Amino acid sequence: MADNTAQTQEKANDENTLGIFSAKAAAAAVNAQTSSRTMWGDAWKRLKRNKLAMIGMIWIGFVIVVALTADLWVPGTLGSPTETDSATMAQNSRLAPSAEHPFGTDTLGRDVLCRVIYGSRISLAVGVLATAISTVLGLIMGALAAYYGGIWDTIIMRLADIFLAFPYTLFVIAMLAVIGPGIQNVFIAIGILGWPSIARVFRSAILTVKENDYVDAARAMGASDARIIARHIFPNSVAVIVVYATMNIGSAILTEAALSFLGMGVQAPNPSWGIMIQDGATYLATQPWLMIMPGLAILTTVLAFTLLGDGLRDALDVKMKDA
Amino acid sequence: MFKKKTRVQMHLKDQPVPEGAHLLEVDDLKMYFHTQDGVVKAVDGVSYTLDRGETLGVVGESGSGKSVTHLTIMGLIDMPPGRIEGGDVRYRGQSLLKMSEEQMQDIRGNDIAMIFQDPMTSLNPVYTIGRQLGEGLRLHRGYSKEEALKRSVELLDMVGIPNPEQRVKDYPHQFSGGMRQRVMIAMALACDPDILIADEPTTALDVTIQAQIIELMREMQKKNGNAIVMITHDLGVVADVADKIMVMYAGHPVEFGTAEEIFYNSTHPYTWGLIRSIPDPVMTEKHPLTPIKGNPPSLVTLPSGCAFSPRCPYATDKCRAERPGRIMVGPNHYSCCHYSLDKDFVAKNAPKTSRSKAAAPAHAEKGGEA
Amino acid sequence: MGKYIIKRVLQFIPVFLGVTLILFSLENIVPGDPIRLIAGDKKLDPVTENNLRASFHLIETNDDGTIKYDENGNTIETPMWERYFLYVGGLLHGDLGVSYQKSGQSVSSILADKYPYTVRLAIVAIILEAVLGIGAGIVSALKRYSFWDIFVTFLSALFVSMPAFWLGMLLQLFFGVFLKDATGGAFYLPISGAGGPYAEFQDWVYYILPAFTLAAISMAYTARIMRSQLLEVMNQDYIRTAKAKGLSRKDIVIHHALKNALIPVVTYIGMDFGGLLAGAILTETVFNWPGVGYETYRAITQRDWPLVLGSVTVIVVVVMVINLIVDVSYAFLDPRIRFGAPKNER
Repeated sequence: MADNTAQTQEKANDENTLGIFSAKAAAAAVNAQTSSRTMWGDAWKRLKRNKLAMIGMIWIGFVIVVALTADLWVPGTLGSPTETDSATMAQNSRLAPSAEHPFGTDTLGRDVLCRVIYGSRISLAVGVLATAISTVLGLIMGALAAYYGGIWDTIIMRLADIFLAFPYTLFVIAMLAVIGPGIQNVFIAIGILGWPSIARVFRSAILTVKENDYVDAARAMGASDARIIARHIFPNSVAVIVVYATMNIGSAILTEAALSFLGMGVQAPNPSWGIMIQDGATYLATQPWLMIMPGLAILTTVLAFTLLGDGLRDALDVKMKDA
Repeated sequence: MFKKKTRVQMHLKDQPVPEGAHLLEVDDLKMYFHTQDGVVKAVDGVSYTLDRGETLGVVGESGSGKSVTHLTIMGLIDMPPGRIEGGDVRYRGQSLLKMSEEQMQDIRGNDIAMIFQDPMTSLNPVYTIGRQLGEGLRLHRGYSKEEALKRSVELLDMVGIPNPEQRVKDYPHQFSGGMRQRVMIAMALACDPDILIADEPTTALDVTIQAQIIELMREMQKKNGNAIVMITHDLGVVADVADKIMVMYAGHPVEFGTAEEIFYNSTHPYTWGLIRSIPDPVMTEKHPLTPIKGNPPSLVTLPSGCAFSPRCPYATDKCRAERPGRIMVGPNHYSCCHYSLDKDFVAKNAPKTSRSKAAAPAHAEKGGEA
Repeated sequence: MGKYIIKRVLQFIPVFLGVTLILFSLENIVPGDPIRLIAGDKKLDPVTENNLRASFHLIETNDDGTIKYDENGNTIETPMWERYFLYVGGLLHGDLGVSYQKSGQSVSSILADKYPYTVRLAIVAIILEAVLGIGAGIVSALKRYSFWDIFVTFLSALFVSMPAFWLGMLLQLFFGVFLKDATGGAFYLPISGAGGPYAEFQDWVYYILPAFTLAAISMAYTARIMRSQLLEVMNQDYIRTAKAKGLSRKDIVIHHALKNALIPVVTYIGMDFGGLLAGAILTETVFNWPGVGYETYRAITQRDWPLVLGSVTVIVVVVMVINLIVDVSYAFLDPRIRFGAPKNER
């Protein structure tokens, strides 16, 4: 997450281009007069102006639509992503890209585009589900640490330190070595091991919000702890969480690809992008599209999430100091 | 280390001020920032003169352009987004604005030095005090490392830092805020500059330390005969030390005069507002502290007419329609208010405390040329 | 400074214990009885089996190494906590257990052969990362919004968004296949193996592609951090002070900005050595590099979990120790830490 820190500072610098003085404040005053809507309305307006973020969002939308509707049109046009027709396999094996097979075919005569499309389902599922698991875990841990403080805080944050001291990919590999390879286990491993960074972020967000008077006011009116967290603290931390989760999806997709590439993730014949790259490695010199196409799919999708995450961070004005 | 300045150059500082010129002449200086949101008129027609031994106080709220004006004079504004839109700055008769960056480097720190508001962040945390103090000497005077260190010890001693031989090896974070500002002053005075520009030198310090720092600057001025530009938002700070005072509002000087004139004979409602907001324990009469209502205007969209009119309690239609020019109320005293010469208006609305002393010889003193 | 170092070392202890506890738990949850797995289809006689169990500390032994029996003549299972301490003790002595597949060869002896390759590769990668990353970051910051800045920003966004192993394959494709074809075999870079076992001078070409692949992601981050740090430092008040002293831009960058900006970058690079070792699994797999990473990959495909966990353990411990060293050496770079300045002034 070091890049986040870097980018935040970058942003701070951008704000300071004028050096120092009244110019910026003056401009801000102008802005303040022209637009005073809700936080999300403002953020959306700012996001819309960010071209790269919009490109990222459109690409993600496109990938989601394709992944969700694949069953409706892919089997009829491109064939099955997993099954092979042994009768025609030999003559269809590793065909170069053509009108009929835009991305070519693989060794077993399956259409690569078809497999890339079905692969997007796995990547998106892992990205979203694993992120959901780590976010929920992270929120619970972060809330416990920040809200109750003291010994809870020490234990949870020490635990987070320990988890973060572990190189992430290695940790996932070690865990999969124990619980066994396979798609569900990939969800679980990536999901469970991702909690510390979200917990840290949520914790510091809560600590900031907790200082605010309205939290004291709510407490004075007799609101319960859970209610205070749910009604007052959580809504004020949503921006940070949204930005983190978005960026986390991209890195979860990369981790899944790496695990599948190593043979610890999704198992054949399921069409994971990582597996497809591994399969294509053998034919690097002769049929390079076998590894290039799924790689491009990963690159564009992860890049899209990164760009969207960056855009959201700027639009929501999230400071990402401690991750 | 540094590339020693090899070109032989007569220091401007050693040349006499040309006949009829002042040490520093700022002449209708205009510097605007060109931003995405529009043109910010940060410095909009500032003029003053300064001579050796003099102290000029520059007073105004934050955002009034007092710091930017002097950063412009020092050539410390990035261009772009900044751009000089007109006017001139002459030092010993030579235009600073026309100088190359290399020439300006010779001026900075050597002829004109500057200290800044926050001594906590103005010193480089990873170098010792001695290294930072000696830097200017090595650059401008070609001192060796040893000579620079020796001189640094003397400078620290001069600004009243105890045990200078030891402290010179310390790092900035080992000094307190007041001590750091003393170091900044020593650093600025290292090359014996003609002019010391102090940008809110005491704002970040405790009240008790503030007085010490001001006193130190005065002492040094007596010893070296340099001129001082004291930039502050607090009229009280310059009350005792300034010979002349320039009151700035929205990038523009609204009143200029001797300290006496500004305090006891001011004719601009903004100056009155500043005076009214000084808590003064020696005032004989009790009077409520009246803050100036509202905020400084956006420098992108200045109000039409007088820039102060939206906040001025006495503003008339004329004020809102027509920008007042400089109205001379004394030989060296001007004010940018349509009603500056309206005796009844001034008598009725000026702060009572200054009126009561109006009998004092307000116009007697001239700018205090040396 | 002594206080700072002691504090860091003391903070290291619970993290070390925690990490080893996690590794130990993982190892002891591995499904199946390790002895059965080692034996495979062979039938073990009870004496051999008990000896094996004793060597794994699964049952208690006397001080002289003989197996302890209770009054009924049964072996005694070692309690978990004791096994954990024996495990940590073994770890400190380099005992990482026994491989399932390689007929009882110890994990540490397998890894010992492979380690030099990985370390050499990581060192070359870290040099590449430092030189290219810092260089690109500085150029990017000083020539802000120029072609180079946009190029570096764009490239670093690509590098962090693509799988490193895929980048490695693209490099293989271009430098190993395409270039070879285009020049008729006159010029190309090797895409497999590490040359000879002794890292002789002529073997250096083997390092280029794998080291670049391994370094790519970190290089991108280094460039980003360097850029943003330098931009931030150039906005600091003390830079303005230096300008006001009459220093030239060049002197300011070299003498005032770089040292401050480099502190976090150097820390990042130091901390990243561990990341490089971890990333070596993928890179070495792509380039058939005979190091720990490739060995781990082979162990994964052969389901040799003790070997997988063993190499993960070694990498993790090395990473933690390196991080500790980097943390401590931070004190030598930054006087504010060396002399214990309050945190808010850093």
